[in-house]
Amino acid sequence: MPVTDPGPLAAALTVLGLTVEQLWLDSLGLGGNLEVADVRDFLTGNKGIAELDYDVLVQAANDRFVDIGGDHPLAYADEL
Amino acid sequence: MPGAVPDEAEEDELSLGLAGLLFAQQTLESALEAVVDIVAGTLPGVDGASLTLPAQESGFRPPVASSAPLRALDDLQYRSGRGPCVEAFTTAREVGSELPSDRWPEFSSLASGIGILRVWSSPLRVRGETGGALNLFWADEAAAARFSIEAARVLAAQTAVVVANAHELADAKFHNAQLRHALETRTVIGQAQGVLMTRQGIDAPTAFDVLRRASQRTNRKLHDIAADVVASAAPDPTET
Repeated sequence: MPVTDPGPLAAALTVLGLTVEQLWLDSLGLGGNLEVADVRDFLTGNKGIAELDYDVLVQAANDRFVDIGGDHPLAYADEL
Repeated sequence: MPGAVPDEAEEDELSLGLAGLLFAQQTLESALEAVVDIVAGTLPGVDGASLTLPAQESGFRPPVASSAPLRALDDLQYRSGRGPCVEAFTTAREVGSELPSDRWPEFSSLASGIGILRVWSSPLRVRGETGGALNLFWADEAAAARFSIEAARVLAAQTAVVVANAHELADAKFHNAQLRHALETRTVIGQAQGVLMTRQGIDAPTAFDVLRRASQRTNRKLHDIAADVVASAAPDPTET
């Protein structure tokens, strides 16, 4: 089932000071297959994305949290 | 089955090359040309590469190939509407063949004339849509027989995402090091997924899930987990 709520991820970007393009580039580095426009549309609430794609974006953000001493604060799709 | 899978140094060269070109090239055309040059120059045994890409309205973009003869070969396919690269794009299926082949007489005739003995074309798929085709050419039948189809598929998948985002990447103000890092980690994570798929008999999405759960459990970055998985699968250099 597609994930349609961008709220937690959008909030994480604000906390991390991360742009949509940076998040997308991080997701590309994790093997993600979304295009920048997909990420932008999801984060603005205009489009749902598959659970796997959501998990890749969440992982990209959670990796950034690990960099600053966090411990995977964002929930993955199966934890929503 | 023995396979000429790119070794680590060759994969590094490929990743670094793709990352560098996306930042340095000024136009989409030249960026795409650099993609095929890197693919052709890095993959062992491959004698040439090209990209088949649809034009905005209809037909195909001008040929993007690693050499002038291959550009002519692709151009012939686009004009005749027949050939393995066109077929891979239009059917969204891999097409591989020894040459000459009765399936594409015009293509085969010109291919033979420039010494091409085998072709393999793969659709470039992003989110289930076919955005083009990656075409590999061999002039040496023995080299073609040794080539790993799995490695080629991985390459096609990576190329698909890069091509699909070529405009965005070329326009974005990413620092070269950021692009390089992303393409390097992508390669490592793909390798780790491959190891897990083989070991556990699982598919790629499940392998990603295994990696991300380990990341969550140990509070380590996914790339670090993946690097450990890849290292665990590497042959021990002290063993003979």
